[in-house]
Amino acid sequence: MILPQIQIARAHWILGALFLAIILDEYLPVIGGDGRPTRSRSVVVPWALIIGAVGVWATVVFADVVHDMLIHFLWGDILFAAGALELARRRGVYERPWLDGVLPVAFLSCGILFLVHVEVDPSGQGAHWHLAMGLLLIAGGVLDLVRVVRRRSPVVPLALVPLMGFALALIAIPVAAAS
Amino acid sequence: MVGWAGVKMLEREQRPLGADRFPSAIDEAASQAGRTVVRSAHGRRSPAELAVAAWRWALVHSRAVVGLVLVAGAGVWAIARGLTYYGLSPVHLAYDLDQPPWVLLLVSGWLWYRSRRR
Repeated sequence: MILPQIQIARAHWILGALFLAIILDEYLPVIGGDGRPTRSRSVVVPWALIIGAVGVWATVVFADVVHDMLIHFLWGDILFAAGALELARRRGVYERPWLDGVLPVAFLSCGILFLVHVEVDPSGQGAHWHLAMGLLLIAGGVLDLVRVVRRRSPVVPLALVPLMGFALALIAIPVAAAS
Repeated sequence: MVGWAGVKMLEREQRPLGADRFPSAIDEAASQAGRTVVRSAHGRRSPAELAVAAWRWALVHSRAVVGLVLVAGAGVWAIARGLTYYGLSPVHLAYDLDQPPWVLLLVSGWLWYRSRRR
């Protein structure tokens, strides 16, 4: 089954909006009851990651190219694993220091998948955009991983900038492809 | 309790009751961001002090700031590219809402809803 271009664009708009909501809720501080900013740590974020994973897996069904199927399948796996681990941590089931690195490593892995996608199909549609989006994800993952490793605690982490760029690119680029 | 793959599992009574009870990683920086700017000797703030105070306020209230930026971006996008009206049936309304400017407005609304004091 091959979807028309506008349907592909719609799927990307929704996925981009979901990702934008996830990273903004995760990285922007919220005002606590004492009037001080604090990090949200909401369980909405891991649930959104799991829902995003289901959406990415759905692409495996609709994709008409083998490497698209494989890449989206692995992408869905990473999102689902990250969502499940974060959900377990935020519910208080698991407590391990390495769980701090789950989100950065997930972003980094997804960025590498983008680069693999370009490497497998360098002449494919939107290869340059895939490259740029992969680099944005890698930059976001690396910046956040550095923050976690160095135990830095900025109010707004620098990783938010490339991650927002990725989400907005996910929303914006299919517009050009669909019109 | 040690679970699968050596992951430490907390007993039910040890688990936090809500996600907001996790220790915040930004406490130290937040206290700096919320600090009041010291006024100059004659009681008036210099432009530099005002800029620093505005920057700190924007950092602390970054959810509202980003929400406003998204609304502005959605407006510019809608004006630049236009919005296609599909109709009033549920399916058509869903098609109306999945356009990028509407999507940005929805994310902004979500962010404002999540920015309320807890």
